Amino acid sequence: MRKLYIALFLLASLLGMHAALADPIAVIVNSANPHQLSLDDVKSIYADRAIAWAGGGRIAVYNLPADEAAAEIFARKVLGMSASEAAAAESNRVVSNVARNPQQMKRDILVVAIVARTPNAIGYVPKSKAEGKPGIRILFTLD
Amino acid sequence: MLSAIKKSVFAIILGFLLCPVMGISATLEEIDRRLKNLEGTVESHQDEMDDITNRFKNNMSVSGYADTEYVTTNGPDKPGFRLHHFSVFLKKQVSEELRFFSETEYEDAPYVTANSPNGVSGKLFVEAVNFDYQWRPDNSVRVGRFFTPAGIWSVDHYPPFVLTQQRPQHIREIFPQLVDGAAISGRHAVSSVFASYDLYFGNGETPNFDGSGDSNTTMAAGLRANLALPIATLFEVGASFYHDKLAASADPKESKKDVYGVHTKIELGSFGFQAEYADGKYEPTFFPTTNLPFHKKGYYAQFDYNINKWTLGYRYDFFDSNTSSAISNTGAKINSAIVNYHINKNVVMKLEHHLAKVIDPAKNDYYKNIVSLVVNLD
Repeated sequence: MRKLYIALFLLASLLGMHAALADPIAVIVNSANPHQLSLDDVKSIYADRAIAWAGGGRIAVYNLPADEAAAEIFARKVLGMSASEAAAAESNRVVSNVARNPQQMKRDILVVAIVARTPNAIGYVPKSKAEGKPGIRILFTLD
Repeated sequence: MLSAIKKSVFAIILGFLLCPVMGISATLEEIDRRLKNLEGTVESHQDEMDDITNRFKNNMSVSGYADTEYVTTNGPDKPGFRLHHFSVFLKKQVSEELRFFSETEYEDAPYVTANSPNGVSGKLFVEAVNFDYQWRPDNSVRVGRFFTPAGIWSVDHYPPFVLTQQRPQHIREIFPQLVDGAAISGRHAVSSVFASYDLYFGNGETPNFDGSGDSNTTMAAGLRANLALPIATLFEVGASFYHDKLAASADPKESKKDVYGVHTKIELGSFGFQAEYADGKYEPTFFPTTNLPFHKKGYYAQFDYNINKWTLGYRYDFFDSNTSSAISNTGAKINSAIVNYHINKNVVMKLEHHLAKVIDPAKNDYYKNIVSLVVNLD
């Protein structure tokens, strides 16, 4: 009986893990932000090329820690590299004193809260963390 | 009488029935009150957090990098252990627009005393001290000492982030390493194409960077232009130019100098490619043996392949320090095979093998192997 419980627990864990991995990524901005961005636009922002919104104002860029699954998916799909490579590229820009708009790294729950109260902010989080949250708008999702 | 008893019983029963409802109502009010208190507490904590964040944002930050190597070679460099770099960065975001940056490098862990400054081996060097004023998001001006904006490696060269400990030969030999002066930088986007430029003026090349003026008769000037195209993961191409009228006292062999260079950097999935070419024309006025102009020429092409924590690389590197003569030429053709292991994003181990075929027939070809540990002190 004990083995059955352990097996069920492991199965539930695996299913839970699969659900977590399967959670799409939502790229989010403040709900007052009128801009529509493409995937290339978001890439330019996270590559430190585009640093201001079309109407002016510096973009506040929020990233997730490289060891989070969502960061890996985002880096692969948007930047075309691994999350650790993306983190190293950002470190290199900062160290070389060429970063024009350094990113801030926060946990997903904070990214949602910060974007909700910062009109110039952009971030990405698992879609389940963003859905139905006041003050934010989902630009698009990455499956 | 009976009716009064019935009314009393009914009232008691009603009271019993309503009591939990009234209790629930009271509980909900209590929860609502506590929730409002909690919201107030969260808001005040948020304010405090914002204050602390802003205070930290404006504090001086200290970072840097360090690396140590073990070298085997039969070439001009010394074999054995080497404490190659220990560099300290001081940075401060003075205001939203103004940023300070400095880098002081201790190369080969020098022993510096007041009595024996000339006997020091290694180098203690202020490589960068500058202020950036970003008056618009896409425009900034930089004043002070900074790495020459030319090609790729001149600026993007920090050991934790580059493939090799050994820089390509022509780097710093054709375009100067540093500029004491001012630079204007800008960026312009057309659709998904990003064009950027760095236009700079400075003291030009001097034999010693002492930060106290210029021994040249005229200022040096340079330009770097770069295009980032929406192809592959990264696709950049660019060109660099530099003009410097060197004083006779600075280096009699190099009295006037015009340099141009081109560069490209491409990343596609796990593959990376980086190449630079530079050609410097020198017109000597005090050349000891001949007054003929001469060229310094150099280029390299570097490939890398990333697989998990490993990076495998190859580089072909060519440098000719005087294209009109092979005598006293410091150039060589160097083939390099490189393996990097990224322990984490701040720590890299590198294994490099360089095989050099020198241009000067009076000098011997040589090899150089380097094992290094590089740490980004972020």
